[in-house]
Amino acid sequence: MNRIRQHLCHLRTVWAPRLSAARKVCLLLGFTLALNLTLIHPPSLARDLQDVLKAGKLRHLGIPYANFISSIESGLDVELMRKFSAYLGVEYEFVNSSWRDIVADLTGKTFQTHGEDVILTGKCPVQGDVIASGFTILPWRKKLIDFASAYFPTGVWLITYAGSDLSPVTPTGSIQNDINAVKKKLNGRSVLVLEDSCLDPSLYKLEETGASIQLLDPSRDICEMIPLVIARIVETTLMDVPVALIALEKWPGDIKIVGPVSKRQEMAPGFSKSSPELKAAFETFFKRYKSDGSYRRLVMKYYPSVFTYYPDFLK
Amino acid sequence: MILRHLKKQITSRLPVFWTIHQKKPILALTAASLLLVAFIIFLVVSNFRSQMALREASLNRFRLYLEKRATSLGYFFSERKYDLKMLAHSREINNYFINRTLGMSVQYGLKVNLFMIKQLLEKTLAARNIQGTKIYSRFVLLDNAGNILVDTAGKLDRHFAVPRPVQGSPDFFLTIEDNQPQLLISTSCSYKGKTAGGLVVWLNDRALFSHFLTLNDNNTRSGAGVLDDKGNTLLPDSAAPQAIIQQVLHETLKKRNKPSVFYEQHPLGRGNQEMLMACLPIPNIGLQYLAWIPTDQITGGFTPMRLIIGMGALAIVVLVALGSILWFSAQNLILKTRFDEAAKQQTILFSKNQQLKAEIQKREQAECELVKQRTLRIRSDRLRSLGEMAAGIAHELNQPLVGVRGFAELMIYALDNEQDPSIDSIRDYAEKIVSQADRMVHIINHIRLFARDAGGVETSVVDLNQTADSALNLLRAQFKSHGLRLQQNFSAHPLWVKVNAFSVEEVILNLLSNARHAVEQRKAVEDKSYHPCVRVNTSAYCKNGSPAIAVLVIDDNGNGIDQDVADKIFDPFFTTKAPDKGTGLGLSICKSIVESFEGTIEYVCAADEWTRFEIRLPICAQEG
Repeated sequence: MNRIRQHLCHLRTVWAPRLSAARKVCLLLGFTLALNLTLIHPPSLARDLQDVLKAGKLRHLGIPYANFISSIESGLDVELMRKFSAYLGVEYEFVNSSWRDIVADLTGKTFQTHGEDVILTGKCPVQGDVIASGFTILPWRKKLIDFASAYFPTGVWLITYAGSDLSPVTPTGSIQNDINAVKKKLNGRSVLVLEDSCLDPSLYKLEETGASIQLLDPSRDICEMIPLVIARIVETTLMDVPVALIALEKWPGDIKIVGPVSKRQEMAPGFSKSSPELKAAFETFFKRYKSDGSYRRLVMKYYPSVFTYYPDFLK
Repeated sequence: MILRHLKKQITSRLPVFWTIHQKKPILALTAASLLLVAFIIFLVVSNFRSQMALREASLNRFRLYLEKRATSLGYFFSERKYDLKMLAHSREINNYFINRTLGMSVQYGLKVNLFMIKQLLEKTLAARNIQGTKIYSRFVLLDNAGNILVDTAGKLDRHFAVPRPVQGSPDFFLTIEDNQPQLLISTSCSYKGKTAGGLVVWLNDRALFSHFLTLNDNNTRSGAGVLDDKGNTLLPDSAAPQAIIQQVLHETLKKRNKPSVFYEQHPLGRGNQEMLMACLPIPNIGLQYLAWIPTDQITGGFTPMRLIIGMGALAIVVLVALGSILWFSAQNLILKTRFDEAAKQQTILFSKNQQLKAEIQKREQAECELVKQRTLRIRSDRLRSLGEMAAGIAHELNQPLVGVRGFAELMIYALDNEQDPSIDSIRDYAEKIVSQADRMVHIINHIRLFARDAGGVETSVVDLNQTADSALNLLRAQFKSHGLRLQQNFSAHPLWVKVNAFSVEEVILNLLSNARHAVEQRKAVEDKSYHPCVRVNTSAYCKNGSPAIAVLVIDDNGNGIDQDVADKIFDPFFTTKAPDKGTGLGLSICKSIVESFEGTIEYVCAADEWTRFEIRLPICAQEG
C-alpha cells in the first residue's frame, strides 16, 4: 500500500507538470499526423444498419466501468446491447476501448477537445457500431456522435476519504447552491479527474476553484480513482453518481460524499452520425424494451438504488 | 319391588299347582336379574372411574400441550430477538450510522445506505417465513429522535408511539394500531458504544396465530393469545364470540398475579359451557400465553356423570325389559294353562256329546220301538176290537148266508119237485142269492177296510150319521147277545164332516166298547132292576142360524169313572182294565184322531152312575 502511495505521489509530483507540455507537443504531432492520414488514407465511415445486418454482427464499444460493463458477459450496457443485437438478428461482439479512444473508435476520426470545443485531427479505423458504456451526454460528444434517447440519469459528485477534514455539504434544496458550496471547499484541495470523460475538470471549470487538478494516468482504470482517494494519494476525486453509489456500498466508512459538482446529467448510447438507421433501430428497440418493463428490471439488477436518488427515472 | 309385584301377579293368576312347580325357575330368574343389575352397577362404577382417570389424563395432556406451546413460543421469540439483534448490528445499518457520523447528508450519500438497509429488511421479511407465512409484517428503523428512517411498509410520514429503544436485549411490547393489537419487538442500534437509533419489527399475526398461538382445532369457541404484564392482550381475530373473549380476559386478569401456571375451569359463554383456561408464562420474555377451550373438546362431550346417568338408564331399561319378559312369560303360562284346561273341557264335552248322541240315538230307537209297539198294540187293540166285533160280524154274515141257503134250497126244491120249473122263479131265486152274496161282500170289504184304514189320515167328506150307523152295525149283535140295549138317535139331516170315516168308526167302536164294559161291570153288581143301556145320538150345533158343529154323543149308565183317574183317562197306556183286557191306548188314540180332524172330545161322568162322551167335528159342505 505504501509502495502504491509512493508511486502515485511520484506520478503526481513528477509527471503532472510535464504532462501539460507533453500534451501540447503530442497534440501538435497528432494533428499533423491526422492531417497526413486524412490526405493519404481515404475516409472510413461507420457502418449503418444495413452494413451491420450484412455483416451479421453488432460491435459494441465499451470500457469496463462500474456496473455498466462488468465484464464481456455482464453489465447493464452489455446486456442491453446483447438484447439489441438479438433484436436486429445479428451476433454481438464486445470491443474493448478506452475513454480517450472510444469516440474515435466509433467515428473513425481522431480529435482534440478543449472545453466544449472539438478539433478533428485525423482518421482512424472504425472499431465499433455503438458506444454504450455509461456514456454521459456531453456537449463536445454531441458534436462528434449522435446520442440515442437518454437511458440512465447521472451526475458528478466529489468524493473524499472518511478521515478527511473536508465535510460534506448540507443540502440547501438547490443543486446549484450545493455545487457552489462544494467548489468553495476545493480551494487548495487535490482533485483526481479523468480527461475526455464525464470527469473531465474542464466540464465543471474546476480550474477556477483553486483546486489542484490531478489527471489520472490514461493507462490506469477509472475504477482505481476511489482507491487512490481511500489510499489518500489524492484528497478528493470526481465520480459519477452510479459509480459513487457502488463505491458507498463497496467501501462503507472509507469514503464520504462531499457534494455535487454537476447538475443532473444523462447517459445514452452513442451512434456515429453516419449510422442514423442503426440509431433509429435502437430507438425502436429501446422503446419496446422499456415499455414492457424489461429495462426497469435490468436497471434494478445492476443499479437498484438509482431510483432512490432519481425517483422520476423511468416514469 | 317390581319383582315382588310380578311374583305376586304371577302367583295370584296361576293355578296353585303351576306356582308350586314354577317357583324354582322364578327364583332363579330373579337371582339372575339381580346378578345382572349388580354386574351393570359394577360396569357403571368401573366406567365412571375409567372416565374420571381418562378425563384427568386428558387434562394433564392438554396442560403439557399448552406448556409445550408456551415453550415453543419462547423459542420462537428467542429466534426473533436474535434476528433483530443481527439486523441491528448488520453492516448496512452500521454503514448508515458511520456515514451519518461522517456528516453525509441523505440527499448526497445516505440515501443509498437507507436503500440498502431497506433492501436488507425486505429481504429479511421475505426470508423469514413459516410454511410460506411471513413471520414479520413490518420493519422500521428509527433515529434517536424517533424519526422513521426506513419503513418497509412505506409509511414514513406516519407517526406512531414506539417506546424509545434502549440498549440491551430486544424488548417485546403490545400496542394498538388502527384499533388492532400488534406485537412488536424493538431493539437499539448502537455505534461506537452509543445508541444511534432503533429497530422495530412487527410480528405477523397470521404466522404467530396459525403456528404458535391457536389451538389445533376448528372450534370457534376456543382461542389463544398473548398477554403482557400491563394487561394488554393480543388475541386472534378469530370467530370466537366477543363475550367469551371478554370473560376469559376478566377471569385471566383476576388470576394474572398468581404465581406460575394457573389453569382453571370456568363456565363461560352461552349455555354456561365449561371452558378450560390457561395462562402460562412464555420463557425468557415478559409475556404470557393465554388459551381457552371448551372442556368437552379435551375431555370429550360425554362426562362421567352423564355416563352414570346413561348406564343407570340402561340398567333400568334392562330391568324393565327383564320384568316385561317375566310378565309376558307369566301371561303366556297363564294362557297356556287356560288353553290346556279348555282343551280338556273340550275333550270332556266331546265325550259327553258322544254319549248324548248315543243316548239320543237309543231314545230314537226306543221311540221307534215304542211307535212300533204302539202300532202293534193299536193293531192288536183294533184286532181285539174286531174279535169283540166278531159275533156281530158273524151275525151280519149269517143273515144273508141263511138267505142264500134258503133261496138255494128253494131252487133245488123247485128243480127237483117241479116238472117244469119256471125260469123266472129260478132267476128270481138266483138274483136273491146274488143279492145276499153282495151284502156279505159289502160286509167283508167294510171290515177289511176298517182293519186297513183305521188310524189313517186320508180324509173325505162323509155323513157322520152313516159312519156312526156302520159302527153300530158292527156291535149291535154283540150288545144284543150280551143283553145290553143299544139305542141310536141320529140327526134327521146328514152331518157332513171331513174325516177319515174308518178312523171315526174306530173312535165310536172304542167309546162303545168302553161303554159296554162300564154297563157290564155295573150290571154285575146291580140287581135285576138295572137295565144297562148305551145311547148314541148325533146332532148339529148351529151358529148364526146354520149348522157349524156336528156333535156325536155316546153315553151309558155304567159305573162311571172314578174321580181319582178322571184326569188320566186320555193318557197313553192308562187303563183300569186287566192287562189282558186293554192296552190303555184307546182313549188317547181317540183324542188324537178327533184332534187330527180339528175336533174335540170331552166327557162328563157321575161316579157309579153314568158317563157321557161328546165329540165335536166341524161341519163342511157336501162334496160333488
